[in-house]
Amino acid sequence: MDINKPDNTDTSADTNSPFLEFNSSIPENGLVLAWLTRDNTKPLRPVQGSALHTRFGSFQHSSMISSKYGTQLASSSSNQAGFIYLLHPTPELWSLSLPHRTQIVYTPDASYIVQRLRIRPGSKVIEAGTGSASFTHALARTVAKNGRIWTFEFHEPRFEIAKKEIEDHGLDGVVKCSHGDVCVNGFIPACDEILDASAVFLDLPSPWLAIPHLKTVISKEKIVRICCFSPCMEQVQRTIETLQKEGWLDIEMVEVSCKRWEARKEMVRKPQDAIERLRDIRRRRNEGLKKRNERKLAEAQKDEAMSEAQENGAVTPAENHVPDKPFLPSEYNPWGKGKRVHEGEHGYEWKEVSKVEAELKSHTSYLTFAYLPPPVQGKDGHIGSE
Amino acid sequence: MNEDIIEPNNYVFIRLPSATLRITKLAPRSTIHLGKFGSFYADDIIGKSYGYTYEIKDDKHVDTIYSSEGLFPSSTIDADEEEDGAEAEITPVPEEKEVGTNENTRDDPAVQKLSMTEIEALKKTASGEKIIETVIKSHAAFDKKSVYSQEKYKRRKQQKFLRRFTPCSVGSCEIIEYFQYKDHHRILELTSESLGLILSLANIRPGGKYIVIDETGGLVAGAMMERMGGEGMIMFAHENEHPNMDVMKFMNFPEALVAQMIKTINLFELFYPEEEEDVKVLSEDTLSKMKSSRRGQYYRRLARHVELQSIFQRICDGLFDGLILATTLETKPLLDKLIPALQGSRQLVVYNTAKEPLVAASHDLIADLRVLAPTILESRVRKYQVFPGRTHPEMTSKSGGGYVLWGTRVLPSKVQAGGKKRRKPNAPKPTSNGDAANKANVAETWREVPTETVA
Repeated sequence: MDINKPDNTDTSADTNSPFLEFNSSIPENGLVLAWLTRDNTKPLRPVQGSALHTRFGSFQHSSMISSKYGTQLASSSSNQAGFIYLLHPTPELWSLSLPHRTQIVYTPDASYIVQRLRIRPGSKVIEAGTGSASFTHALARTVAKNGRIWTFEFHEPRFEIAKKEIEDHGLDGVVKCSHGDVCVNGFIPACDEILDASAVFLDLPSPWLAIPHLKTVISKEKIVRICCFSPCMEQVQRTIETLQKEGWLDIEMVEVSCKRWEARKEMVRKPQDAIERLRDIRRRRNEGLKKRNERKLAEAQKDEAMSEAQENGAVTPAENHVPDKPFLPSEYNPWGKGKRVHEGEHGYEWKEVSKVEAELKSHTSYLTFAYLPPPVQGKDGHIGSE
Repeated sequence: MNEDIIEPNNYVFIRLPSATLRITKLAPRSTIHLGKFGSFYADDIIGKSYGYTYEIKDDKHVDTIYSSEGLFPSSTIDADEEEDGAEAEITPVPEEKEVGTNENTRDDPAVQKLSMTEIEALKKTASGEKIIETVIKSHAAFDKKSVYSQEKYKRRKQQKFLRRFTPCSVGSCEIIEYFQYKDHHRILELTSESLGLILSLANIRPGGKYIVIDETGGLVAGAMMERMGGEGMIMFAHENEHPNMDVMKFMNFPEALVAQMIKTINLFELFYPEEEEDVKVLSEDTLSKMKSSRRGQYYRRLARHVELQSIFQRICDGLFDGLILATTLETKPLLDKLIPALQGSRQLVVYNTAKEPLVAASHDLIADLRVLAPTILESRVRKYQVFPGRTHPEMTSKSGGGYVLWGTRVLPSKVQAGGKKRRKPNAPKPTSNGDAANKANVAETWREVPTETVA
């Protein structure tokens, strides 16, 4: 195998899905995820003459075309400064860029489900509902060109948007979108294909109504695995009851929790420094007190002298008055006290630490897994039975 | 690698009622021993689909379990409900007095009327289910147990006496399940949730060309192969003279497929390609005079040399599509070497059992402009016990799972790579508000570093 043959088969964008193929450089009208900040990624297709306007400046589409994916692009505004990154789409980055039409299956859940359902290139998968088609993208990436995903959505506008997006992303060869309520009508695809899925993912309000319809659309030859995605415990209990009735085995319910950690720097603040600072404060206070006492004493003496002088009819000479020394803060300032110190700023001691992100996604849904063995082909022949 | 049908000489993953797991090689005409669960002839299941449950008979042949009950016969609670014709919408929780309590149960070994020898004798003649039935009948205080505890008792006896097993194909999930209970360190404490996350974030798919440093005996590389469907390439860099793929061998990949997809390279070769010795090309004449074994050796060396050169070229050209590190080696030197080998906008993922090395690596990457948005993720799965009226998280769970660092390879613009536009804390303030917003977006400060003010 020649591993150095060019990977970059820059065929036209409509036969080439960036979710199924890698590209090196950005074709005209090819999908780009413009990365502005961690929480702001804008999907776009560069065409001559257009521009992307952001609060970080304007970016000409013409400068994106034929650039390499991953390029850091400076804004074309004359006073510069802003940058964006031109990223290659992946299902994970796509899910981060989604305007959330529905609650989406997040990557920690999605990746675990794909792994547990043993989804492989060539797998055939049923998904209901399609929702924002975020998980559909992750599934499509893994089943790839020889696989199949039949996805069902009962909400018509959502179905239309998802279908258009799947086509737009060049995934319609792999993903077949259908509109319909699987709980009522079962899994009737819009395409005329015979369904024989070996993996099923149900993200529905009432999965227990859909499960009995599965018998006719799953593989008769191999193990079929299912995952039901439900936010509530009550849904889980009814789902499990139905799975048991329908003969699904090894039923297991789990919850995925995922924390995102940020690498941060924490200033090293030594107790001895605090002690020295306190020592300094005490020293200054004592000095201040001493000075005040001296001044009081001096004033008292002066008053005395004055009254004496007044009595004697004399005037105090001005040069006898000693002005206060300006009260300087100590030079010793270990933590930049009173200054704005940036995290990691030079001149201070820092320790590398990690902190959990501010808002924690503590519950997405419960995942109920089960499998159905292939049907036994009767007692004739191969099995050593009496 | 057929994940549907059991082929001769496959490793199979065997589930037993006792929740112990085995990985066994099914040689044709062999007898497989499952300890107290008995022995069976491998030929009885070779050629069958994975996923059936079998019962071992006394003659070492197996019966397929025809009902859909799997390893365990249906539980009594469910059976009761069905008898009641409970088509209720929600499974009713048995009421307190029906359930019974443990008020009247006493620890007393005498409640079991069967002696050990009687049970042993029974084991020789009766089926597992028959033994369980007899044992329960001879339990004097069984009726005094609560419904739940009757259920638990029955399950315990089933785990002991049922001679059932279910063969499954050995994939990355099964390997993890097996090693989690046996020798978790050997696979760097990987769990299915972390492995799934790694594979998704690294965007592993057919046709990709990936780099991996894998200290899990090839589990990670094997899991990548599962996701690649025979298309693409994995550069498997290793620290010893020979790559360790002891764990991957259980996954039943054909040797030819492994040879086609996995290109091994040791770290010395990776870091010092210029020290690679050339293979002197020999003339046909010289070759024909050689002993055939020497000639074979020569061709192997030559093929290896050509392969290595092509790997060096790919690294040099920066043409890889993703990077996974799952190693205890220090990350920074590896990333310094391997980041340039990645194309723009490709993913890199570093796994470690501890968070601290990833925190250090994150700081290195933040200072380095070639990787965007390094993020550390900690994914954990919690299992629940779900019975009607008795749902709660499992009391214990396995540790492990580690941490996953994820970032995207980017191509910084030249000005930036020189560091000229890097924000300095005391740089003069930009003039307009718009610029102030820009400033946060400039260069490596994509990450909004909160300013710490010590008041």
